[in-house]
Amino acid sequence: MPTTTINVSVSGQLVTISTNEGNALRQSKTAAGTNALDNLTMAQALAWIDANVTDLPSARTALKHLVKLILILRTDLDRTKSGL
Amino acid sequence: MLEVNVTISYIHSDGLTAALQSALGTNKALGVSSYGSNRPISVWLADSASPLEQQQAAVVAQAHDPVFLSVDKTHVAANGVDTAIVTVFAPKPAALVTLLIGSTSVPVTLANGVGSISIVSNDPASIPISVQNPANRTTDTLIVEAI
Repeated sequence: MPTTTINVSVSGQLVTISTNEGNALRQSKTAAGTNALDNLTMAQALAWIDANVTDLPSARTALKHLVKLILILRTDLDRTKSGL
Repeated sequence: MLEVNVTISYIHSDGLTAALQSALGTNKALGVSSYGSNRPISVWLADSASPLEQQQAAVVAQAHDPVFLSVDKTHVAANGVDTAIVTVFAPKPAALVTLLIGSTSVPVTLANGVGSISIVSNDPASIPISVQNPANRTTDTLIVEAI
């Protein structure tokens, strides 16, 4: 039995469920904003790095995109595991 | 075994049995039988049940206010769209039903004893659904899994 706490929102006869882990994921996605690496294939992502990482500022930008992806994946994993 | 007949149209067998056993004890209240909505139910008591306890059993049965829960699907996608519909049937005239979704109270609008609520989930979760104040009403608890 999952131990995650459910948050219940009631509107008339419609009940909407969310969890703290899910809310954390949505907050992470909002904070991350757009990410140039989202939805790229491996080949496309590597090509993007070749084309866009040319100096320290651009490397910093690429690193931020990478960290965003990792943190969102982590919160998504927490969300998924919380429902098991 | 003693039989007490009570005329009520619908019973939730487990709910009524639990109420009788709560009032009289498991050694005195043995169970109930029903034979369709047009015939009185049987409340089965131990031979040791006194006339007062038999009367008490009848009072508990007359106060029985059954609630039946059902759900159209036990699993939904955790996408905020896929919907499980919980149907509530409370046949006693003027019955009111409030569900507990997790620990949140959700009043159900009934028409002729029937009502429903829709449940969607944005996240994976196990969603317990029961009746608030279920004594002498029901023992039903549903679980909808959002995956």
